Formats: sequence, structure tokens, C-alpha cells
Amino acid sequence: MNNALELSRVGKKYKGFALSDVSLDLPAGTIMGLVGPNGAGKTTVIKLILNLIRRDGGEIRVFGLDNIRREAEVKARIGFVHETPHFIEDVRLKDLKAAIAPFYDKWNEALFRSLAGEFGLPLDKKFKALSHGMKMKFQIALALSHEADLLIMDEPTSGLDPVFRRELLERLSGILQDERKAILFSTHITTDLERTADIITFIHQGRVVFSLPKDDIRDRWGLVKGPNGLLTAETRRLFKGLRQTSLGFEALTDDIPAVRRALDSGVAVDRASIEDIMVFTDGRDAHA
Amino acid sequence: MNNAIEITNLKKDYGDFSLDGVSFSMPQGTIMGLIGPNGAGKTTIIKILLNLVRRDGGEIRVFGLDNLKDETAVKSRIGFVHDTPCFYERLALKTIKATVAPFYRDWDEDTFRRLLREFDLPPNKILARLSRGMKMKFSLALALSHRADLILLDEPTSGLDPVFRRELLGRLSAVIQDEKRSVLFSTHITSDLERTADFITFLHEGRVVFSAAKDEILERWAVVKGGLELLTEDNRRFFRGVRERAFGFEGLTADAAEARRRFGPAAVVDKASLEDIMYYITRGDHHA
Amino acid sequence: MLSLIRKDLILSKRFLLIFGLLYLGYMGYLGSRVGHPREIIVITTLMCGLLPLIQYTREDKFKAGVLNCSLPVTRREIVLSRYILSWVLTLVLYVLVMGVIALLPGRKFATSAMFSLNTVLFALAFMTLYLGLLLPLILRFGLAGMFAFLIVLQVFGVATLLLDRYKVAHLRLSSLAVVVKKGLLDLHASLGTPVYDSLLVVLMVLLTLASFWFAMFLYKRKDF
Repeated sequence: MNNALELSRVGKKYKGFALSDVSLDLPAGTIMGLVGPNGAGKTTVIKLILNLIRRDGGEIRVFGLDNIRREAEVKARIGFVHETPHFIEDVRLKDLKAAIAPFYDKWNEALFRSLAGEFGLPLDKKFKALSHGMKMKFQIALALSHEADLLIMDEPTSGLDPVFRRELLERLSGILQDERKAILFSTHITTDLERTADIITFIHQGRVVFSLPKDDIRDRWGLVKGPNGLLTAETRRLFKGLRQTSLGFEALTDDIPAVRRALDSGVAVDRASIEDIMVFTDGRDAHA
Repeated sequence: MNNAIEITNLKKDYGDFSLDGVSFSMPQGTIMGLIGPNGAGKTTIIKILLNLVRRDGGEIRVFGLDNLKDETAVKSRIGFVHDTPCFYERLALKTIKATVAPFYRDWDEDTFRRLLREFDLPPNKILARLSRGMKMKFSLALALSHRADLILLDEPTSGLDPVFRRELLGRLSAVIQDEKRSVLFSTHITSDLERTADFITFLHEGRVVFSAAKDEILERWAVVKGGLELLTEDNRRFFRGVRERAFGFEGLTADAAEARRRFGPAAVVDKASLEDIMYYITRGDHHA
Repeated sequence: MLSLIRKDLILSKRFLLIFGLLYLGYMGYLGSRVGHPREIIVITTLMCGLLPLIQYTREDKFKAGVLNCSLPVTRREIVLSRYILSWVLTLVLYVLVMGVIALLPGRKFATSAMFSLNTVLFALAFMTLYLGLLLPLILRFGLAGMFAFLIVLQVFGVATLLLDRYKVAHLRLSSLAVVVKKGLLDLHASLGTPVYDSLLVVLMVLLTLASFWFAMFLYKRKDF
């Protein structure tokens, strides 16, 4: 079993929102980026993996182990970073660390101290005295200090400056020198994703739109621009999202080869960035 | 050209951090982005401008008026959006508006209503029930509804997905189509700035590294990548920040043309993104 | 298990120390002024038992439950560790308060009464009911659970008083209470004190187990 993480047809229902039929595989030695608009279900997926919320259906396996039946074993190998850091606010950082470290057999105190130094964490201060960015850094330091085989991070870089982000992403890539490890992180900063992730999973309205290696996305998803005259019932079917103005149309396609075959030189086809894909899939077709 | 904001020699001492003589100006009718690592002083400057924090020295003029002596006049022309919520969350949107609007002589109810409709914000909804993105939009709607000449935003896009961000930034660009309105916003998401801003001010350790037109910055700054043998003493001094790696070096320069002349085909000279600039200046070795 | 208990202690150490000492002083003083043992036991248990429970409502306030359930432990272990810690803290505080009362001059609480078997059994019985009812609610619902409990208790109290005052179905609650009390006394007499007391202890253990099972049932279903 070479997958660090496997989700099979996972579902979760809330009032007014449902995650349905979510399946994805995270092979060992890779970084997966999770993207999607706010409310699409990224945090829900992460909470399901950690069994913070109960799933309504499907299966989740971490290194081949069922995440509920072998809960403690699985979690011992996971380093987590939550979108909102939840700690008792009036406790000092060093006490928080002292409370958490004993849970992990492989806790590496020297590593934690070196990270704390590097990140500039004031261990004597209370948690509530920290800025949001510092709180995230604290979480990250904790997650990285017990030689976790799977890192699960929900918006780890929110509120952090580009310099720290770049270094963190470099560090994450470095961790994967050990090919048995894997990383899953969700982010809104798509440029970070495009730089670091091997596989990108796009979630929209509770479903997985795609979960593909970065290169596949580049080869298949594109932005097509052309004159309105080319829009027929047939050609429209090639597009996932469409914007029209009086001067022409701009559309998103997930099948560049097919578009090239159908429309050839009548249109300009550019690689779609993750942001483009998200904007067009948003579901609002704009007709100016 | 008239300046919306003129900051001269601003000083503020916080003990372990200080603003050390910050000076820059922002012309009217432009969008300026304020960037810098965490803790560089961006939020401090915005707070001092609004007199939420007292300064230790220096002068700030907004539309030619002193921001302390003519505080009320200045603030009546400013629309602000803070990064953390500053409204009473348990009230309905329309109630919050009713508490804020009377402070502004030029309050424009029609514009406010129109913006609420466009942003899809139900006036009867309680603020606490909105997502972060929607709260941000509400703050923006308030800020834009009293014919403010200057809009100040502190991290407006953090935590928002790319779709929302694009929309928000599009909205801000539309705002300054009217030549007299100006926008200043601080952010960590430099890709947003590269798309939208006219001017960029880069703050680092309490000082201004540069404050210039975005197009100029992106043209003049470059990252040079080459073999270690090219890194002579003389060449080292040429760079604003250098990173040496095992197989070569990366150097940041503010003079792309000169870099091309000096290194020619022996090295790769790429345009520097804002993130690159921030990274090499804060983390690179400095010899210049 | 130990890690969980240690964690809770580390995270609440200042809180427990400050309030623990305050309670010790206050309850100790109060206790020495009151002569009737049962009143003291009830109030002391209520207040001392509150401390460990408030630990968990604090966690609820900061939403730190997410942290707990992300650590490598099962929900069962979390609930078990909390039962253990709550009991230990309540017992320790109770004993300390009794100690303070015993030391204070002019106390009206006779030493023999304080540490007699009857008193101890009564204290344990009350703790069983108190912690047994509150823990499942607080672990699952946090502060809201505590409020719900208090409100239900008030409603229950009012209902009892009303029922006692007005005859309902030719029955008065006080006469019902008399019947139950007589029944228990008869049982006590027929079984003899040691057996009766042992039965009581067994009953308390069973109740605690039932409460634990219920707490686990609720906590396993909590969505963070």
C-alpha cells in the first residue's frame, strides 16, 4: 500500500451543505494541495481525516489503517495545523508545548527549540498575546517536531508574509526527501500551490472537481479566447465556464486537445492558472 | 501632483520594535500597496494614520491636512477596513449602519443600499452570521458609502479565496476610476498587488526600502541566477541580496539592465516578482 | 492516559491553584460555622466538584476541544481521563476542606461526625450523583450543558415543591418520601449495616459506570 492517505467516497451532511462522494489518493512522497472557494468543504475534509467530525459514509485510510478503528495509532503519525489555532488562551507557549509533547513517542525537543528560535516564538508569552501569524507558526512548529509521516495543514500560511511562506514551503519540500512521508495542505494562495504541490485537488460545493498532478492540469485545462461567432451548441459543450462580452468570449475548458481539434486557429488557448479555474468554475457566467 | 497621503519621518518606539523615520507619499487617484514581512510596521502605520496609536515623531498629512490637528476633517474623508472585526457582531447590518452613518456628513444612503445589493448582503442579517469574506465586503460597503476620498484597508484579502479576492480587487480598481479617490492597502498576498496596484511601498524592520511605481519596480528589479564562479567580490556588491546554494547563487538587483550587461549569457536574468524582492532583501546576504 | 491527565493539569494549573486555594479558605471557613454535616457536605462537594468541571467548560470556551481530538488518543481515553481527574480533584479538595474545617477553632462540626462512615458514604453518594449527572453534559455541551443542568435542577426543584404543596392524584410528595424512607430503613434493618452499606457502594459504582457509558456515547458523537 503506497498511499499515505486514501479517501473513498466520503460523505458528510450538514444543514445546508453536504460533502458527497469525495475520493482522493495521496501517494507517499508527494505534496497535495487542496483548493476551493470558501465553504467548498476543504476544512470538512481535513476534519474528517482527523475524525473531529463523524463521517456519514465512505472510508478513510491513513497508511493503510482505518482512521477510526485505529484512531490513536493513526494520529500518532500525523502532524496537524488547523486553520484557526485552538489553544487555551491564557496559558504560556512553553506550558502548551509541555502539555502536548508527551503524546508523541517521537517528539524531538531539540528540533522544536530550533524551530521556535527560527520562527521567533516567544515561549514565555501567553498564547493570547500572539498575533495570528505567530499562532500559526507555533502550530507549525509543534506539527513539525514529532517526525510525523503525514502532515495535514489547513491554511497554514494565512496571515504569514511571503518570505516565511516561501521558507515554509521549501522546508516542506525538504521533508519529502524522505519518500515515506506525505503532505496535504489547503490554501487560498494559489501561487504557493503552483510552486510546491505535486498534486492539486480542487473541491467545489462539496465535491472533488479534479485531483490531478500539476502537469496534467497544465496540459488539459486552458483559457480559450475567441470571437462570439464560434459559440455554437456543440462548441459550448467543450467549456466549463464562459464569459461573454460584445467583443468576444473567454471560456474555461478541461480538454485543451479537444478544443484545438474543434476550433483550431480560430481561438487563442492559454494555460489556465488555478485561480482562473476557480474563478470560472464559480458558477457565475458573466454576460456583460 | 497632489498627494493623498504624505508621511514624513514617522517615528514610533515599541521597545522591541520601532518605526525609524518612515517617509513616503501617495499621489491622489492611485492604488498603493504596502508590503513587508510580519512585524515590519504596516498595521502600525495605518493605525498611526488614523490616530489609533500615538506617534513619537514625524508628520502625516492627508490631502494637505495635518492628521492630528485636523483629525475630524481628515477622518471624515477616510473609509477604513480593518483586518480584525471592529463592529459589534451581534447587530444586524442595517443597525450597524445606523450607528456609523450619522458620523459622516456626506453619507450616501443610495450608494450603501446599492452596494449591499451588489455584494449580496441582506441588511437584516446579523454580522456574526456572515463569513469572513462577507464581513469584509460589508466593511467595504460602509467605507465606500460616504464619498470618502481615501480608502484604507489593512489586510483586506487574507483568508479570502481567490475568487473573492479577484472580485474585491476589481471593486477597488473600479473605485479609483474617479480620479480623485485613492486606495492604500496592506497585504501579504503580493500577487494581488501585482495585478492591481499603481504604487508599492516596501517596509522592512521599520524602514521604507522603496516606494515607487509598480511597473517601474517590476521592470528594474531582477533575479540573477548563475554559477558560483561568477560571484566575485565586485559582483557580490552589485546585489541587494544574495543566496548561495550548492550549485549556484541567486542575486537580487535593482538594476536589471546593468545585470544583463555584466553577466550577459553566463547567467539567467529574470524579472523579479514582488515576492522575490521581499525574499531576497529580508533573507539574502547584503553587501550593497 | 497519564498524558491526558497531565495535559489537563498543566493547562489549568494557574486556574486550579488560585481558585482551589480560594475555595479551600472560603469553604473551610463556612464549614466551620455550620453544625449540620450534610449541608456542609453538599455545599462543599458542589463547589469543589465545580473546579474540575469548569476546566472543561473553559476548554469549550476556547474551542480547544479540537486540539484534544487531534492528538493521538481515542475519545474513550479522553472521557476516561476526565472522569478520573474529576473524581480525584473533587476527593482531594473535599478532604482538604474537611482538614481546614477540622483545624479552625470554634467549629461546630464534630470531628466524629466529619469522618464517620455515614458521612463519608453520604459524601460519596452525593459526588456520584453530582459528577455522574454533570460530566456527560459538560463534556458534550460545555458551558451550555452546565446551564442546562442548573436550569433543569431549578425546574425540578420548583416542580417538587409544587407537587408537595398540592395533592396530585390523591398523593402528596412528602407522604411518598416517607414511604420510600421507611422502605429503605426496613431494608437496612433486615440486611444489616455492612451489607446495606456495601450495596450502596455497589450502586454508586454502577451509577458511575452508567454515567461514563453515557458520557462516551455523547462525546463520540460530538462534531468539532
